[in-house]
Amino acid sequence: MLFVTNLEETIRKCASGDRKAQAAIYNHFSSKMYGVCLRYSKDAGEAEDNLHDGFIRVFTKISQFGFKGSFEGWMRRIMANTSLEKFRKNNQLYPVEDMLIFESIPYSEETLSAISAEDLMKMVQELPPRYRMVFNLFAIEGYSHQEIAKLMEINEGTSKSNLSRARVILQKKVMENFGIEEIRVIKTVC
Amino acid sequence: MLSEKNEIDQLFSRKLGQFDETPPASVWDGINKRLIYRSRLRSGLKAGSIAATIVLAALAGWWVNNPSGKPDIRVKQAAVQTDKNTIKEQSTNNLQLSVNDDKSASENPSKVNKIQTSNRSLQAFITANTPVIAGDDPVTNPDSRDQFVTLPDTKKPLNSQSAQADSAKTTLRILVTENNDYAASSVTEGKPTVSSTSKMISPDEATGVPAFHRNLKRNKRWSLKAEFAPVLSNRPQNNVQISELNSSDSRSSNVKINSENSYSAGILAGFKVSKRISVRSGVAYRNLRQSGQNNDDNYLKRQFEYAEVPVQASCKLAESRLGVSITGGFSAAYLIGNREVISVNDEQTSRGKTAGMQSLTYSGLLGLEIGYDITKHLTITVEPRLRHDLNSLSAFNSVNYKADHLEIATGLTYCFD
Repeated sequence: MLFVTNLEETIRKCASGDRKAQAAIYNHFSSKMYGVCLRYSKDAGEAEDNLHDGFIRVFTKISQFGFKGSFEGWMRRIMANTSLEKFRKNNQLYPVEDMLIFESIPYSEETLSAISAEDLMKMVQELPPRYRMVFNLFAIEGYSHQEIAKLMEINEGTSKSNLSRARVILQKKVMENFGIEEIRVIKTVC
Repeated sequence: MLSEKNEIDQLFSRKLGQFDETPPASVWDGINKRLIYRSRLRSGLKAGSIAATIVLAALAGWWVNNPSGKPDIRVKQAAVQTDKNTIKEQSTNNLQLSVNDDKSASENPSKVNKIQTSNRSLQAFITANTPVIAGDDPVTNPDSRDQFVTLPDTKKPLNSQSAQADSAKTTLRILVTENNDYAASSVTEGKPTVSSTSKMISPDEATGVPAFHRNLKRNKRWSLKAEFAPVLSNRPQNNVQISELNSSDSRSSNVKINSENSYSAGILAGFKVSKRISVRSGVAYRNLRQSGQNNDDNYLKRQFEYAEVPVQASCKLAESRLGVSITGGFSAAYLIGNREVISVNDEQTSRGKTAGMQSLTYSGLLGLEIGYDITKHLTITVEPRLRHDLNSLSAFNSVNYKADHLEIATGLTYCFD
């Protein structure tokens, strides 16, 4: 297995089409990028597809990387954009139903440590596609609603609404899965 | 404790922000195959571009060096006429003119056509009073019909050398080689006049006839073709879910995408590499359209525009005033336009671009071209042809749309002398 020893040199070799350098870049970053793709996808199959397309794009555009920022960050953005493009392409269905706003109940550290990343990943993947996209972009990647609206070609208001709904769904799932028996509904939104 | 308002955000961000997991090995296998495929496509594109460049450069070079289109006639060989009624060809690919003051010939011009000729040769006896147009015996030598010489009605001597000849019989011999080089010599009966070799003379000098008319189709090597073709394409396999098309609520409509009538147009430069084979290349514009409609009569329209460089070869199957050729080739197309519009309740809204379209696509062509000579230089052609996309129009793995297109290309071809 090939590994990256000198990232800059490996990137330059990749840009010139060096197959060994491409394999080295893949081996070095594939796990992290697969993690990104899993967050934006509904299941592992879709994530693998996005990872494939994302890496093809990375190798196609690697000559455009200007060595001004983090290469990993650049790759993450490409993976996220690849997933977003597929979302836009498929214009997938997302349910619109009455949503319940739950009272926020603080969690103990014990509860938090009991929640695994795999459990949370499953919850994110179960979100409706548009909620999943907005939640990932806002909560994890740190994009603003204005940026999300531009990326997803939606209104800022829609972005805020989607984020709110995503949070409610995730909150409910966390409560259901980690021992909080009674949930008090404080209001309903549509 | 997480007590902030966005505690859910923080929880997920902390646990999933740097989440990693090893992907299955099959992902790299797929990437590797795709990279190899792209590498081969790039090589193919380079080869196609080089071929197109060579063709266009050759055309430009010819145009700059020889804009009038008149070939030079190079005097290469002398010949001596020894027999009064028979001319024997020394080359198997010669064209021979004989100027004859013999009265018997003028009285019976039909004999001229009975002159024995060798393969791929042409002979014409021209009397002082009766210009004669003669060609190969089409029965014995059907290939020679291309090598046809006509002489206008004139009593002028055929060249400067024959102008000096006052004997009973003068023969002008013009040899046409496979490379369309001309060799000319004149012979006066009893007093052989030997023309100098490697002397360049123009057609007018050679004949003494200003309007020396040559109808040698083989000389028409270069051509320029303009064509237009309506295009019928097969439909994409994938349906799309489009939320904006459902006017009553925000749920999506399942829309079946169909191909609409499209078109292409282009200009191609052609070069005849042999009697039957020719190659051509140029630039073309292709406009592909798709549309989809849901149950509420709301629709989606897509339009893709391509600039392409086709490289084609054609082989002539039948040659007459109505010619038939089989054509095949390869084309590289670059996406220059991508538009998507939705219409809900007759209100049209732009959706921007269809995502994930390949910027470069390749296709193979196979067609049957039927051409009709309107004039000596101008041919109208109709060419039904099939085009198959060699790579998917979409860059997404999940969308494999290698379209098949039926094109009926109508064109006008101008052949240069």
